[in-house]
Amino acid sequence: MSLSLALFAMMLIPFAAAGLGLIHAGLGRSRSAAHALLATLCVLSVTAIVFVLVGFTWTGFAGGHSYSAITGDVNWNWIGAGQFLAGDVSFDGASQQVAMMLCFHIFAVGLGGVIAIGAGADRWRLGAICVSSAVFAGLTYPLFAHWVWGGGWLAQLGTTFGLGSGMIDAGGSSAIQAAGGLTALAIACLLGPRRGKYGADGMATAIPGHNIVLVLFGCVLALVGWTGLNAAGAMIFYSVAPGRVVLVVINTMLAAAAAGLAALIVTRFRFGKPDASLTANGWVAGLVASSAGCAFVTPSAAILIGLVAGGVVPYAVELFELKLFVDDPGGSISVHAGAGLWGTLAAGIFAAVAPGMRGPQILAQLVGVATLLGFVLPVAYGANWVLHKIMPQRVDRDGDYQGMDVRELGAGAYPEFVVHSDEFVPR
Amino acid sequence: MVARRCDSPLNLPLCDWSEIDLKLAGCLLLISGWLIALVALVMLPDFALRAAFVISGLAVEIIGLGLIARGQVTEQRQEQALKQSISGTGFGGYR
Repeated sequence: MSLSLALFAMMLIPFAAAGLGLIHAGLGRSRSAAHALLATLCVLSVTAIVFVLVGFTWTGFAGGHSYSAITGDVNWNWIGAGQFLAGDVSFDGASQQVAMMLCFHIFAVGLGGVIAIGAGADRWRLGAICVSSAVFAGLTYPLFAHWVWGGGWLAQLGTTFGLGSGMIDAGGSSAIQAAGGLTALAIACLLGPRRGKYGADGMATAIPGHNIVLVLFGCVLALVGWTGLNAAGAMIFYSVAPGRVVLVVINTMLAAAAAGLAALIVTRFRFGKPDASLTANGWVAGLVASSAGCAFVTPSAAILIGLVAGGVVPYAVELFELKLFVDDPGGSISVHAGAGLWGTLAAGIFAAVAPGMRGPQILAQLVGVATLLGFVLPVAYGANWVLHKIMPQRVDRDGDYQGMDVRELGAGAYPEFVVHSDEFVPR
Repeated sequence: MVARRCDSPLNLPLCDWSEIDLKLAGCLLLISGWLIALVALVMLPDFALRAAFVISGLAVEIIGLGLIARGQVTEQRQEQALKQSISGTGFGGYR
């Protein structure tokens, strides 16, 4: 592994979080824009600290200490057993790879934590965001990341059960994106819709994003971050040679491009004109879906992966908003959970594998998908449900009208430019 | 009588458990589906059988997701009816 190249790639990852932050802010109301971006900063801060305090203990690394359960002759590596405060990581060059993993995880867990902000936009309290993201960084993410990247049982499916190379996920379609997206689903269900989102007849009211320029700029920023994320993950966890990193970058770009175009075409034919916000969602869905197989698939497969992700996202957004009454302003559930699950599966379908190993590899990926749905989602929902009972996560009724900026921060993001007529409606 | 939300111990005797039951059942099905997939890996030596049971586990999980979705829709419709009965105005679903 090239240390300098991996380090450079990792340093790009915060751009992905910045991009998502801008997308969430732009797709929300103007009266909550500063709150959305401040929440992004808070999540990055909280997750980094909590992950170093306790998260890396459970995440561990391949070859490190861990706890296992043995059934028959199968060793189930369930959880890392490192020292708290990353005490077993040395920075003197002796365990360079482990230090790189820690650094990668710090950025990755922040990115995963930011995802849920999009689903809770305009109504999720800042304090609750911090506590919820602490749970994500201290519990949900470390467990699944250990299973996939820390030498856990999902990574070992190949050796223990003969399922190809075990579950593969170079850039985090499952551990970062799907885990974050499923947490977003839990948050959106617990918070309920924004006030005014659904009329008395149950019809959804369109609440368009307040600044589509932010959203589209966020997409470009996210592309930069995602190339770093995918390249760093591939090099650190799968020892992809530096010469092959260019394939990772190409696949990332191609998947995003195909997904963006697919979403644009779908919305053009469904609504008569291309929808900018759904196209942006499609673009990010392509990035999300590209992550798992970015180092193992051909460019043509990356295009196909992106086409499916981008083509499905507009329908998924509609399904959640119109049929299921799940108000997800940033489209986080469809984009990150939906495309993350697809990307995880697609890696098994399209990755280069040894002859006769296609079926087993797909099965390994399916076990990963089953784990995301059967473990990560219930844990995320249960943990946030308990938090919700202890400390209500939703802003009070007045906060819905005032907006999160005034309610929680005391000042709006655009104090001299925007007047909301409905702020003066009698309550 | 209007159904109440089960959001406080005081409301428990009068609350409507339907949506909670659905969501709880859905979550249990999610976990069950995952366990089916895990147990299939351990207990079934044949690849085809393993694949069949892992896919069956996923199917159980999808049913679980369906139940959660049903619970979510029921819950929102009840909130809607509650708001309408109280104010006759728009529905916000706040808690």
